[in-house]
Amino acid sequence: MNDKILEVKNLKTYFYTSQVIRAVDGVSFDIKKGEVFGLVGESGSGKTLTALSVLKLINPPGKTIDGQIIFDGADLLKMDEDSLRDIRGSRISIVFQDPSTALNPVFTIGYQMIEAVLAHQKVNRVKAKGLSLEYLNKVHIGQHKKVFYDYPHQLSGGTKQRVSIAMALVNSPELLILDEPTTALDVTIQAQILDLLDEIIKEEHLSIIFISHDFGIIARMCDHVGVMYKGRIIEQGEKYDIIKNPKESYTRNLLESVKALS
Amino acid sequence: MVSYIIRRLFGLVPVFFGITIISFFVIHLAPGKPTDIQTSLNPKVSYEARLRLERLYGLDKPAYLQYLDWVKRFATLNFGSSYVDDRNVLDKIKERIPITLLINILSLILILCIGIPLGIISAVKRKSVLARLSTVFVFIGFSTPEFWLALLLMNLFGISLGLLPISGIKSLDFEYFTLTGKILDVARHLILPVAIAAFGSLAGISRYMRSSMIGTIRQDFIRTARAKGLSQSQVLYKHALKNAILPVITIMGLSIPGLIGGSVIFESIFAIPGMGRLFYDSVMARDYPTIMGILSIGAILTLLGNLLADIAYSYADPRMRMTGND
Amino acid sequence: MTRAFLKNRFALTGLVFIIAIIIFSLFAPFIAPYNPSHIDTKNILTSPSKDHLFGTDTLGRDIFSRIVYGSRISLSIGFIAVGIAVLIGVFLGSVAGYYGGKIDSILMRFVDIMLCFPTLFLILAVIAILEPSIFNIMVVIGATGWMGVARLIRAEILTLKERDYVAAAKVMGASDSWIILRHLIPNAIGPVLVSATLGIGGAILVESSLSFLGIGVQPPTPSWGNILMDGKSTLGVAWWLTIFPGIFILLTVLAYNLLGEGLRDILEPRLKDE
Repeated sequence: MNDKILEVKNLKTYFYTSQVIRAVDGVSFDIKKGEVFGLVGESGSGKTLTALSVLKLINPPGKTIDGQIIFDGADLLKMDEDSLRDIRGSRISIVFQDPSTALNPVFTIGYQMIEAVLAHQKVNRVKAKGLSLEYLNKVHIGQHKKVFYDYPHQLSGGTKQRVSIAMALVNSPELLILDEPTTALDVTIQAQILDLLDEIIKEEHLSIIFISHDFGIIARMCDHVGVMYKGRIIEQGEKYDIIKNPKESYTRNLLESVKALS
Repeated sequence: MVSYIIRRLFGLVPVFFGITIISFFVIHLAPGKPTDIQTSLNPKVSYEARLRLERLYGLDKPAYLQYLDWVKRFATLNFGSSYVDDRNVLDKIKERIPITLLINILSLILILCIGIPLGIISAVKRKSVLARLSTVFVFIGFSTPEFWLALLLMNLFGISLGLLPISGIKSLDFEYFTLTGKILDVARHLILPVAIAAFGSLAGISRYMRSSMIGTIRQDFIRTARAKGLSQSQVLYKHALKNAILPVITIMGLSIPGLIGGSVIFESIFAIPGMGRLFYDSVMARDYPTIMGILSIGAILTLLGNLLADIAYSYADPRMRMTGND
Repeated sequence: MTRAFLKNRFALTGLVFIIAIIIFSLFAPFIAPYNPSHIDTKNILTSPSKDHLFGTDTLGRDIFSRIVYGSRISLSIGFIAVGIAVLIGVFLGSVAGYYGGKIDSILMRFVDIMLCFPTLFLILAVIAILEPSIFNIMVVIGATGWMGVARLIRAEILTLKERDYVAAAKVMGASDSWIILRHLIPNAIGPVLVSATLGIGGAILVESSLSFLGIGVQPPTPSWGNILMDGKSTLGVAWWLTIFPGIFILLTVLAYNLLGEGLRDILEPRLKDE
């Protein structure tokens, strides 16, 4: 009985421009079911690209050239596109960093939510609408019934991010990837979203990959942590182990930048 | 959206006046009075005609009064009488406009139906044969003189192959045709002119559509759509297309003056009795009232076309449809 | 940057052809076998032969010679017309962009108004009034084609004027015109160069249309467009009157378009993707 939801082995994603950029250079980590795994590092360390590689959303000139991503016994990197599409948005979901560009400006929130449901669940539109409204409510959007008919540009950043979270959860995924979900938001809103995420983690029994450059946030949200630097995980382990005994100097520098941890 | 339209209409007022100023300027470009060149070279124009002309342009009055007079006449579309046959200019134009409008609308439809899909395909399947061919097509399309193409096609289809008629919009025995026969006859006559009219803009629109599509596909929400597990065609033809087509609507509005102006060329080549041909004849005959009349009407048509394009755009883009309640 | 230029196939092909055609026109007297205006009534409408490479027209004039000399006319009109358009456009656009405010609104409104007139209509109307001469044609094409350049320069200057070196220059007491001329315009010139190159192609097309319609370059002065004028009446009989001048127009304009697009790729690098 495997208690691991995701096993990433030696993942390599390179970008072939005028030079070869080794964006993800041999990354390995495992995530247990129900665990919150934090991927921390500065911008450009390859965190986002690792997440995108898991869902095979890398576009040319990038290419995942090596490694295995084992999910539910199958290697995602060897899967055909149709099977991958079944997994994207339903068994593995992702919430992106910038809420103002993540949603399509010409479709209503409701349309985009229903679309997410109908892509994976064989229900009729009425049921899909009901499900969408339910999740918009779960993420604590005030006036969620009105927001359903709104367009993205009518909503605030915080609300839009809640929508993205709702959209990622509506098909009850097993693994949720959060790519810097609060970085683009105001500090007060950040706190609210993190509270929301706490709640969701407790209620929905998800496994989570939480990506951030802010060790403070990682410390708050995660159980296990991987520190990324220049495309590699240089240190990995239980959160408290790393905070108390960072082995690498880079990790120590990251920790120092967060004064709250002493 | 209604408030947007009203605002736009108000914005048109200064443009309207601007048009009157520029056209006024054009009339008075001629050294000496506009009447001199025409009439002094033309002994047939009688003294009365000259007086009438001077009164028409109010040349006996000071400049600002002349201008106000012109604005009044412009607004009422009173462009006087043609030099050539003394008929009311507006009447002459009214007879010719339907054909020109018909051809331009048909060519717009052709541009939409061919140019947009072509642009989309060259954006989506970048390496395909079709995409490369359409790039070649676009370059050649931008570089070919329309009138030359017209001559070539006339030669090919009209004379060598004898498939299509090369002049006018009706055959000589038009009257004897049935209704369907009549419609088909006109249609056959219009094929070449519409194709030529569409040709130049086709290249431009497909190129623009292509770059708009490419730019849209790079945006974040496309990544979200793929991450949701949507199929490639859903991502491209729903999410991307609906965004990419918006600037193309604006561009189509901007290509309207080009279409109207181009009608001069193909209408004279194909002997189509439209507004463009009338303009050409008037230019050749130095028939100033008609020249100014058509110039002004051309500007008005362009204004209307742009307004329509703007309205269409504001309807299509939800960000415009409501005055942002952010 | 020269390296990038040499690597760009479009720009290179275009430039090579343009240089060729310019040399062609410069050496016209040496290349053309006949006097382009020489009327030879014994040889009307002869098809291409070794005596007459491209055949003769309705007055027996050698078409090849007319095309060679015509290249001078067409090329110079294209060049000067665009020169005028660029001068007007850069001036108005930089003033609008730099000073902003009311001046900007008025000037941009002016641009909008000018764009309302179908260009060919306007050109035809003005030339009809002023009578066709090569000078008038150049000026009118230029005076109706500056709007795009103006917008481009204005957009560039709007972004550039916020840069530090502008503030520094102001502090040092540089006059406005100095800042515009020495600092802003040279940096903004990229898109204008592209637009001007493409514009030369466009101007050549307009001139040939005008000449074709009879309201451009007047015979006997040869221009590629007015040679084609005969082509219309001799349709089906004398294909050489239509094909050859047209090909020259097509290739020349194509060359300018290739050069322009190539310059655009070089000067406005976008994120390269597959």
